[in-house]
Amino acid sequence: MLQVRALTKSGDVIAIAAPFPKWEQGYAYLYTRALYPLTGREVIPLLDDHDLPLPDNLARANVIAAYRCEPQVPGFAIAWRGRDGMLLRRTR
Amino acid sequence: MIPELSFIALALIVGLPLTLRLSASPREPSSRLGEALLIGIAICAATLAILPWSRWIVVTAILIIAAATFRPRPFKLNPSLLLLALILGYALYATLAPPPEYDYLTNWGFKAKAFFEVRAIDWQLLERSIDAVHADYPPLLPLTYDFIAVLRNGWNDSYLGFVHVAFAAALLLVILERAMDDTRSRIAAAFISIALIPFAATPWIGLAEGPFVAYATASLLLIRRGDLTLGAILLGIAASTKNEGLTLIAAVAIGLTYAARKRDVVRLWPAVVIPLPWLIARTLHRLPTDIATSGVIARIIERASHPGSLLAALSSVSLGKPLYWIALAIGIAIASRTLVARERFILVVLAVQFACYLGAYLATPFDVMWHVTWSWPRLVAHLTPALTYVVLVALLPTAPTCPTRS
Repeated sequence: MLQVRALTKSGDVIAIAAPFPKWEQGYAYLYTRALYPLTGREVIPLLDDHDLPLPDNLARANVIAAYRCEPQVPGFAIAWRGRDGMLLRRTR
Repeated sequence: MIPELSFIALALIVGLPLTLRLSASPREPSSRLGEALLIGIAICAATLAILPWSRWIVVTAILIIAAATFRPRPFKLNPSLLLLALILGYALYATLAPPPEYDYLTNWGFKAKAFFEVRAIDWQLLERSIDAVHADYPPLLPLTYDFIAVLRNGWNDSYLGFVHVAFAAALLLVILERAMDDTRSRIAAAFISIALIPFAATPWIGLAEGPFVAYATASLLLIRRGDLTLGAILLGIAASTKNEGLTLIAAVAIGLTYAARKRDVVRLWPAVVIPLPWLIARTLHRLPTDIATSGVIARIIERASHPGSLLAALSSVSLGKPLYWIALAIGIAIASRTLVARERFILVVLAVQFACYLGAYLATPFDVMWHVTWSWPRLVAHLTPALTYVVLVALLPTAPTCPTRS
């Protein structure tokens, strides 16, 4: 997350991607823990608390911070890759 | 660590002259250091609600307020202050690492860090309704952290635990002074203060529990002895620290009424005025309050008519300290007549506040077991310092009958 902070700037909208299919089974923890290191950016989830995907949030994001997964999202390109995840930035 | 220490010094500089003006006698500066620190911290935080977030502007404002209220008085160093050496271990614990608590990272610390990024209260962030952030919680603690960040001119959470050491120290100083007043014995007062160290030095570094316990307990002890103005101000600041402080204001009003001090209820007006700007602002910005989400009445009726789940949750959460609870129960049994005769005010306040906490569990939109598990020990910690104090004072043979000072 510190690297995500270093590679983003104030005002960026960062979607959190993770290999957890359910809100209460890891996703909520990861998402809420991302808030503190990423202050100044708008951090948004890709899953709601009923485990439903939030495609509108993906449409709003200009950055995806992916934890231990490698999502391939049209319109995004890999900007950085680390041991525990990667950062994708919107290209169009 | 210099900004943290400068913050404590500034809080004392601005808090002491103001406290000496507002408090009932005795007005020796050394006996009012606890209240001064509590008031001073709140003033420092409040400057950020109205002034630009610049180091020199806020420091100048603090010094102007201090100078305007300063009256030269002799200051004798009280040897009882050595009591504070006993919380050095707590200072080490509090500053071992940046605050790690989940609620610090998603709420108190997160808000402070986010506010500092924009150098203002970030209403846009609060209006986004992220559940974990609890947008409706009052901003005094985040602004306190921000005051240190403004002094440093940068965010660094390494030594923010010092704030909690300051609150614990302030409360212990208030307890020491009140206990001296109650027992007329330095030894008894020192014993009571030392006994209450584990209650003032809360383990939840980064959360608002420690500050709330300090403001709430100090206000109750002051109001109990008739120091209404200062007590009401601290009560209002408690309500600006945690929402539980709002119910505490009502509990204090009820307690005063039951203690045949109805006329003092009106003198609580500062407690209502102080949290009012935040309550108005949060209403104007439509910040969501989770307990009051739609269907609150239905939830209360449903859970009150089937209390099994709440009782099961309450009995499943350990509060720890079994020897303390046994000793407290024995103490209450021994001193019950004295307590009922002398301490009706505190007992009623704590009972009403306790009932409000149970009411919040009945109203919660969350799973009751989850809510109780993650909050019950902290809520109980709000009430135990004042209860333990009055039980100890009632048990000590030197305790005189409780006079009311106005």
